[in-house]
Amino acid sequence: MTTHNQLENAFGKIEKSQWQTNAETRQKERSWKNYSQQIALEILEHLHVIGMSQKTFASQMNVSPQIVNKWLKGGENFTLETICKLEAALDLTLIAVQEKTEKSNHFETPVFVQTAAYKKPNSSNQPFQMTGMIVNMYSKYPSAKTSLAK
Amino acid sequence: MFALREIIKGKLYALSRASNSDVFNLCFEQWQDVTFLHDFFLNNPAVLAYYGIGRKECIKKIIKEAGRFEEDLLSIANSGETDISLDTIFTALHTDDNFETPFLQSKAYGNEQSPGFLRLYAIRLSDGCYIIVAGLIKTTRALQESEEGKEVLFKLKAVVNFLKENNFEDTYNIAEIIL
Repeated sequence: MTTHNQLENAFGKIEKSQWQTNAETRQKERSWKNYSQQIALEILEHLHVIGMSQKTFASQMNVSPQIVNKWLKGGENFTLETICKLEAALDLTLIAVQEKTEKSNHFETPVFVQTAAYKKPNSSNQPFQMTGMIVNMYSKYPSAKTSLAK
Repeated sequence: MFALREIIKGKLYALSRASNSDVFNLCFEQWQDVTFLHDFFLNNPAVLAYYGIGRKECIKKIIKEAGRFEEDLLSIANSGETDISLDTIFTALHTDDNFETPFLQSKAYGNEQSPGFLRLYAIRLSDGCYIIVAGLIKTTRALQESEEGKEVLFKLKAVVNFLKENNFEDTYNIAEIIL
């Protein structure tokens, strides 16, 4: 008797787990979910620091608690529109595009996204306070990421 | 009453509550769920002292470790080989045991290169088939030191007892009878 049959005798009918399907989906979506998870984490930390519940946050965003729950799990493929709304509601910069310097070559300069959390300055004289991290969108430019992260 | 789900036929199974997700699937969902992890560390602040790093850093590392761990297991599941050996991933939980121990209580590390955060716990049957019983984020040096860890040990014993009570014949037992 095979192990599978022996196990069925002991445990009853064995159905296939959903894990493999779910894992393959997670693998396919990993690149953008990595950003989504970082954004979710920054929002969760911010809500924790200011003492705002997810329910209140949902109300402030004019969406259902279920939608906020989905956002904060880190599985939402946010649109730029949603990110702008989140930033406005939380007074928090979640992403930013790194501008090119004049010297840089237009075709060789990668675009960077700074994920999460630096407070917007209250005045034009106050610098941004970076507490987040810089994420290189193009892994083929690792040296650029390192130099920027410094 | 236990139920099982098949991960890799004849090689890897996981406990499940009837009609619910199995523990294996649940672990990988939770270990990559930012809200779950954030709540976990808010409710277990002492764990951060154990790891010596901040909450955000812990969460990022766990998500990364879970992703890599899952990809390793997925590549085994997709390999299509019939002689897959999960013995390269799992090891005996108790130092006095080895792969010849019937109903071996086993563990797998989320990250083999460093201590890491994640653990899977399983019963190894003598032909190298594993039944995943539980998984957890390591919070103490030894399993016995945490309530979650004690629960894992209890479940491992309960599954072994269940198999024995249901006359599951581990081949090493048969060998012993023949000898």
